[in-house]
Parts: sequence; structure tokens; C-alpha cells
Amino acid sequence: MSFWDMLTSHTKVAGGSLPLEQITLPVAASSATTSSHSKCTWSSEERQLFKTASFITTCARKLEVGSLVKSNACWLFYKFFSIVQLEHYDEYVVAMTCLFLASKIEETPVKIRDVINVAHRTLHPREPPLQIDQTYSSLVDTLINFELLICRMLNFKLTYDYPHKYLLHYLKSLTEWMPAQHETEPYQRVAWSILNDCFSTKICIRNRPDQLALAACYLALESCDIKVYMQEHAEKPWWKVFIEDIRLSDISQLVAQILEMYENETAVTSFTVP
Amino acid sequence: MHEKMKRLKQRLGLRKPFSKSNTYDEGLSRYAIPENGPAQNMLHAGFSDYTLNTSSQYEKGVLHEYPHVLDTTDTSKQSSHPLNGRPRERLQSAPDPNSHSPLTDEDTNGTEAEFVSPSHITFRQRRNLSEHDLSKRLSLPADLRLPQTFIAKHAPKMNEPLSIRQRRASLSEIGFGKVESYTKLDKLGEGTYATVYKGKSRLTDDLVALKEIRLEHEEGAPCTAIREVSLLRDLKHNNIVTLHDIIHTDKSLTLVFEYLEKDLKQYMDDCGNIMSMGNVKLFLFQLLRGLARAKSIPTKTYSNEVVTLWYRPPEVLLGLTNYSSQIDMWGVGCIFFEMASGSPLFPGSTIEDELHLIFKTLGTPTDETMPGVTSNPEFAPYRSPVYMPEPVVAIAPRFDLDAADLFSKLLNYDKEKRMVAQPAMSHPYFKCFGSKAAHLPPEDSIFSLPGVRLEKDPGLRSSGITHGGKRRQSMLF
Repeated sequence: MSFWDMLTSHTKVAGGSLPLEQITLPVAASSATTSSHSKCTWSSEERQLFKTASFITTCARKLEVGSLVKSNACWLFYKFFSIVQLEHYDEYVVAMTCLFLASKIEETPVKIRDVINVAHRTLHPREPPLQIDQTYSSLVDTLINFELLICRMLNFKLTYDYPHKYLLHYLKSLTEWMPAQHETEPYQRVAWSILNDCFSTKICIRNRPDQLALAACYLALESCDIKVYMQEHAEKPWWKVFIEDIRLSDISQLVAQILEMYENETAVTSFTVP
Repeated sequence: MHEKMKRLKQRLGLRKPFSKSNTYDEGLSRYAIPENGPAQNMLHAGFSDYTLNTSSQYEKGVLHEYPHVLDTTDTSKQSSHPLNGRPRERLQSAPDPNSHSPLTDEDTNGTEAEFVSPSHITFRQRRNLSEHDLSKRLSLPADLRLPQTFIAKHAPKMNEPLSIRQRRASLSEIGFGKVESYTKLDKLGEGTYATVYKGKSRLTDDLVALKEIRLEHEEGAPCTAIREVSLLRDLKHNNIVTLHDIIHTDKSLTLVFEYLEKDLKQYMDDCGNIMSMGNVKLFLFQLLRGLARAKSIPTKTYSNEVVTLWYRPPEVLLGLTNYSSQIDMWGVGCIFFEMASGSPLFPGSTIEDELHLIFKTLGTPTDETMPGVTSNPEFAPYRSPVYMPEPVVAIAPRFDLDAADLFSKLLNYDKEKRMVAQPAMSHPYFKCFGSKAAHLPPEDSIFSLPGVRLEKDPGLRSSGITHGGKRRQSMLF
């Protein structure tokens, strides 16, 4: 019995058929299953947002600010563009500002100069570094103005209940429960990566943080073919232990969103590589 | 779905179940994680990375056109609601004919005349139904007087659904987020990045504290201001100062707080540093309530920003940097003592002085009382002389047994064993407040409990005008 079988066992799927097909998918996702591998289901706007969020990720890594600042920056970025229209603002300036602002929110402020230099280097890798001149100082002014603009547009609601702490809790509880043989399995790292990747798309602002963390955990276990220990004998599925009111359809809907993101990411990157 | 799952597994290099191998193919290396496992390091790992193809598609010159967009039409800010007129408990003395606070003196001295009174001053008495409904619709406090023109304009649209944007526009129309809605009165103080004024809201007639943060910084808005706003924004607790509104202009960001008549320092000055022990208990409990809710707001900036050494725990004085909520609890213990005895517990002027005072009173720490202290190089100069701890009753003779027990639990050298706010609220010292006190709803006052009221402080002077010299700066700055 596979992991998915076990989770959907209340439907008692017969041996031959794949229980995965039982899970209802959102329309966009199920049409993607039938279409070719490299087809991207994102609109051009979604693609642009995704690229810019990836830009935030790259800059965040170069600035060594850590996952929380990076996630916060992406969250601010998607929140901002859920209020305004993409074409009204330069998305890269917004992205830089979000990163700058997020570093302050998490109390690990990054120098504005570093943000600008790193962003410039990432966008124009072959150009010489920025000189401290008119262009540079107008960039500083822009960032400072945008910082307050973003604060105001988001009504100064600059933080939220991040899913990271939920995932940490779920993984820690699961690890303690699982037999030692699974300790070498990378499911924890996979789950953490999946969750971080979710901040590259609107998934991060659309879903409940605890459910998102659980879905990342679920998907990671499934990708590593790990079964939760003694689950067959348990009174309720393991995920009900973490979130009382979650349904399997919630998880599968989230998993479908995440898988769709990876599909699209492959399509976008393979498409743009010259 | 199954296909997608397969492809994800391929990318992760995890097709073989229970593979013990630690080598991941190219797919996973993009998600490579430090080896030390997630529990310790993941929060700072920052590994999830889509490597950007930076060559062509981003070179559209986005960094050359910087629209100086500062939208002034739709960004007006309002967030929280002005006071809803409930009696506040914070450090305000009970109505007492003998107490003349500086505030009331001032008001009768005619500053009132300078206020621009709203034209609809009598509105509260004859508020009509549509105003009430409108307030409800916009989730405004009941005692806010809406301009008549506003009601006339919006009342007919009552049955239409209200979008977030419309709500925001409506609130802006009422006057939230506008500098004109507040009258600046006296300057209360000036700090490194902000100036605090006493002010009055023209919307509610309530007194407010206006914290004006200057924005002429090279690094944009100060980090502390951003944290202050984002943390206080959703924090509504009877023992935490309420943020009513935020006003953003070109040069400054003004936070509108509820106005508190005096802080604890002024209160203690006013009663000649002799508080009744009943009031000490009340104030300490409220301090714990606020802390239990706020969960140590300033963390990483603690050591540089805090004004005085007197309330710093020894582990911080000895150079520890990974702070947790226990750092606040040491200060609570110090304040507990100060309220009861009228003088500060450890008024050190330098770090060395401060540590000496602590060790002299509570005894020189050992590895048993403060794990790891003897291996800390910072501790070396304090090894000798070895002080013995003084009994609590000698330190604070006014403490009863419960108070002494709570005091010693707050001033525990071992930060892991130091009592934190929530359990401290259930300490036997507070049993006179009843079992409900520790679990009051956040917005309720401790004075809502039966029989809880302020006592008259023995040292209370008939006039509150004479203030001693400022001993320490208020934490407001």
C-alpha cells in the first residue's frame, strides 16, 4: 500500500487503479496533466511575477539574509502586486524594496547600498559596478520612497504568521515519531525546500500558513516514499493530529498547486534558456 | 497528477525508495540544504534557490527608469480605531480628590482654549441611527463622531457591499491618516529618531501621544520604527499602549498612540516613592499581562538601544547575544523591587559596576546557579571576592513570603529557570485576584474584576507639580 493509498484509504481504492487520480484537481491543473510537459499554465503576468520573485531569491542568497527575510520579501512583493497592477510599477524596484524592507522587519537590516549593488549585479552581470553618482543616488531615493509606499499600500501590515514555524513543528514531531531508519532520508530538507519555493508564486499569499506547511510536509514524505510509522493502526491520519479541521481535499488541492508550480517553473526556465 | 509527482521525484533524485545515498542529482542540488539538518539551521539556511538565468531576459534596463511614484490618492493610512472611551487602567490613579495630576492642572490653565473644537461637538447626545449603523459598518468605535456631510453622503449606500478599498477611502474621508486630524500640543520629549508630542484628536477629542519619526535617514525609515509599527499594529491589549493611527507625510511618519497621563517613574515620583503594597501587586500584575502578550518585542537591538543598565540581566551584561523572553523578566524583578522599596535595585553606572552590585546582593554565581558562567572569559574579573547571597527579607523588608518567592524566581541567574510572564501571573502572590485574572480577555482591564481597585499610596503628595530631576529617560524614545 503506498502512502497515497493509505491517506485515501477511506475510499478503498481497488489494487489496480491509482489513488492519485481520485484527488480532485483544480481545472487549470488537470488540464495541464493532459497537455504536454513543457506547457506553462501561467499568464504572462504570473510569469513575470515569478521571475521577479526568483530575482528576490537570488539577491537574498547573495546578501546572505536567510529564509525568513527572503520569504518575507516575497510575501510583501506578492501582497503589493495583489493590490496594484503590475504594469503600474517597475517590479524590480518593488522587489529590491521588499527585500530591503523585509530585512528591517526581521531586525537584520541590510545596507541600502548592498541591496542596490547586489540587485544591479544580478540584473546586469556583465556591466561594471555602479558608481556613486546621480543614478545611484536616485536609486537610493527611489528605494526609500518605495519603502514607505509599500508600507502604506499594505496598511502597515508587514508581517504575518509564517508557515516556517509550523513546518518546523510538524517535522520535529514526525522525526521523533518515525523509526531511526528514516533519519538519513532527506524528507525534512525536501519539505523545507518545497515550502521556500512556495514563496515564488502567489501560493504564499493565498493559503493558510499552517495548511501550506502541512502540504509541503505531505508532499515531501510522498516524494521520498516514506510512510508515517504505524499509520495503518492509527485512529486518525497524521495530518489531522497537526491541524484538526483540515480535509484531505484541502491537502490535495494545495499539493496540486505546488506541483503545478514546479511544472510551470520547468516550463518557464526551459523556455527562456537560449 | 501522478506524472507530475514522478517528475518532481525525478528532479529531487528520489525515485528509489529508501535510498540511503546522500548524493543528489542536479535537481536536488538546487535545493541543497546544509548538512546539519533542519532543526538547528534551517531558519537561516536560505537555500531554496531558483538559479536565475541572468544573461538576456533581465537586461531590459529596468534599473534605469525609476518612476518616483508616490501615490497620494489611495494610500492614505488608517489602521486602528481610536479609543472607545473605556476607562483605562494603566498607571492612572483612581479618582481621588487629593490628587491633582499635572495634566488636570494644565487643562484648567487654559490650553483647552487652543483646541480647534469640532463644530459638531454636541453630536454625541443626538446621534442618529444612520450614524450608528455607519460606524458599525466601518467597524469604528461607537463614540467616534462622524461628520454630518459624511453621513449624508454614505447613509444612502448602506445596503451595498463594502470593498476594502471603499472602506479605506471612507476612513480617509473621516480623517484618519491625515495630519489635520490631530492638534499638536506640548512637546513631551525628544529622542534620537523621534519627537513625542502631546496632542488631541479632532475626531474623538481624546488626548493622544504623537510620535513623530523623522525620515531624513540615509537608510530609509528606521528599522525600529518599522518594527514598532508592524508589531503594534495588531496588538490590542489593555496593558499595551494602543496605536490608533499612522500619518505619513513627506518628511515624517507620525504614530498616534493613546495618551497616558504618566509613566511608572512619574507615578512613583508623585507618591514620593512610597507605594502601597497593594498597588505594587496591581502594577506588577499588569506589567506581566502586557509582557505575556507582547512576547519580548525588542530582541536583537536590546543591548545597544536600551537606555539604562539597571534592568539588564547578568547574562546580557556578560556578553550573551541570543536573547529570549527571559531577558525581560529580570527587569520585571528589578522593577518589582523598586516599586516596593522606592529605590532602584542595581543602580550601576557601568557594566562592571552593575555586575558588582548584582553579585554583591544575590551572591557570586557558580556553574550550578548560572550554567557555564565560569568558562565565560567576561566573568573572569568577578571571580573574587566570592559574595554570599543576601536573604530576600534583608534586601526587601516589605515583601511578604509570596512576594519574596516570586522575586527570587524572577531574579534567577539561570535564564532557563527564570520565571516567564504567563506562569508568573498564576503565582500564589496574585491569588487575591482570583483564578480568572490570569486568563482575562486581552482587551479587558484587571479593574473589571470584582474588588480590584487602587489603594491610596501612603506617600502621595497633595500636588503633583514637583518632579524630581529626571533619573532616566522614558522608554518612549
